[in-house]
Amino acid sequence: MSQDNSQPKAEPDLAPDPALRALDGMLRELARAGTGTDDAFVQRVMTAVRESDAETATGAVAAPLSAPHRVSQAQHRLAIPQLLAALVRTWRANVRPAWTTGLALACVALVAATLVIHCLTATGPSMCKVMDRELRYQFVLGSKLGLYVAEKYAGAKALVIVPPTVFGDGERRRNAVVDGLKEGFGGAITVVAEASPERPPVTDRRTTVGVSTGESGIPADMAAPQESYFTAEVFDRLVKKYAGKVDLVVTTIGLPQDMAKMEFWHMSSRPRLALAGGSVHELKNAFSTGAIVAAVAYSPCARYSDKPPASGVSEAFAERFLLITPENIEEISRQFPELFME
Amino acid sequence: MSEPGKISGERAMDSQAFEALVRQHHRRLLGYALALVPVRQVAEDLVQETFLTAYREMSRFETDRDFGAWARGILRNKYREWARRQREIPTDAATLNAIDEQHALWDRVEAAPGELLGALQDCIRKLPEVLRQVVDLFYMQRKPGAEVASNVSCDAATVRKRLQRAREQLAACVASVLGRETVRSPQ
Repeated sequence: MSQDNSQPKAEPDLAPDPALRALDGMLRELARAGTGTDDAFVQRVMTAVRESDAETATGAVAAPLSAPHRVSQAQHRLAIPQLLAALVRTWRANVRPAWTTGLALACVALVAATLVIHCLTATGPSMCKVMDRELRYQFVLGSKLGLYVAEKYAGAKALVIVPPTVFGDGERRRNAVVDGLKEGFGGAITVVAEASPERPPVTDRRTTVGVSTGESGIPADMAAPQESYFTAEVFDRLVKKYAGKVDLVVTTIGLPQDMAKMEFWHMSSRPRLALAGGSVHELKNAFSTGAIVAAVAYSPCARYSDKPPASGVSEAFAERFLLITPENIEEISRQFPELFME
Repeated sequence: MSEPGKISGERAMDSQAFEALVRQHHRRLLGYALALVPVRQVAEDLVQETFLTAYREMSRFETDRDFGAWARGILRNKYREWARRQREIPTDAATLNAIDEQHALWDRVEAAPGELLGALQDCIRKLPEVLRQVVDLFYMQRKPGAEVASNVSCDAATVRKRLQRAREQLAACVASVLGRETVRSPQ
């Protein structure tokens, strides 16, 4: 079976007739690998499936498929907290023999001790330093947006949409963006609530199809992509839940993938919307019409380095981010046309 | 024995069982992906991601549905995500629907994996020489239209017309070879 591993080659145009596009695709597939099973491709997929299994078992995050070997040392180090999370989830699954309790505790203690020793002794851009730097940038992101909103809409009451937690509401992790927002808000904006879209129920994928066996396994909820549970309907529900109680919504997780379906855009008295995360690619009009009052986007000219962020919020912010508002949307889109869909 | 394309609810979806699904559906999914993005590496990546997602989400799969159709839905979303990341204009909804409809029809008539590709290959052999030549150059040898035109010593517009005619004849032929009338015919 021929597997083309050569350099990307310019491809002939697709069939213009929609009714024949499917046939066009099958003709290309016939040309790609003949008529039989493409064993090389099947093996490639199954290798990825098994790697995914192994990664899930350790709680590590899979690397992008197109760049399987480009995971940096820092990213490997960042997997350690996820390993801890996986251990905790396994602990909570309550489907273990009794002797594993002691073993799990010993493992957690060992990993924690290793982390502490590593943080105290490592040289170079250690995990701790990388984490500190990135958290600082996240704090700066929130802080700058918070300052802008506080200055512009002092007295507003805000709903902050935050990511759902892994372990449940009782164990909300510290969120540097939210911390920064609150710092920026100062006393000018009141945060009425922090709300999250609900994660899908924990499932065990090592089960009979569609039927939970209750056997041990790692919950697969970490793998659930945000678009599967943060939809236009969910966003609207969150906004409606706090209707009349808030006049500002700040989302730290962007907007749903199907944002075009959001009723929010058509609400007669909708709260102001600010984005402290997510893509602005399709949102140029929303700024122009004032539907979005502010958003932070990664600057196409961001400067990334191992150095710590500048000490001032504005200077540190400018190293990575852009603050987009209805007032500067035209200027920003002229300066960075690639930020927005045409 | 389970119905083709359907998954038995009793079967544990371990990686071995999943491999059987990959073997059964990968060629059609790759064909589907290539109808959306005519770049092999991208199509292969999209289909691989589709299978990975399907594997992870298998517990949500409704066993009375067709796996191929479910996977195509995932692939369609992966394609949209890819187009957005690449800032490419995605294929319009009408064309996507037309591709889906055709695959749904093929789902009903393809008795075994690979039958469609086999039928397509047979049909290419049956094409008139002048049409087979452009299909071979354009699809099998992946030459751009201008180069095909140069090879067959005619202009690019003529090549486009010949390709269109070849596709129409192939669509009709595939319907005939598979022995059903349900395969969508060109307008």
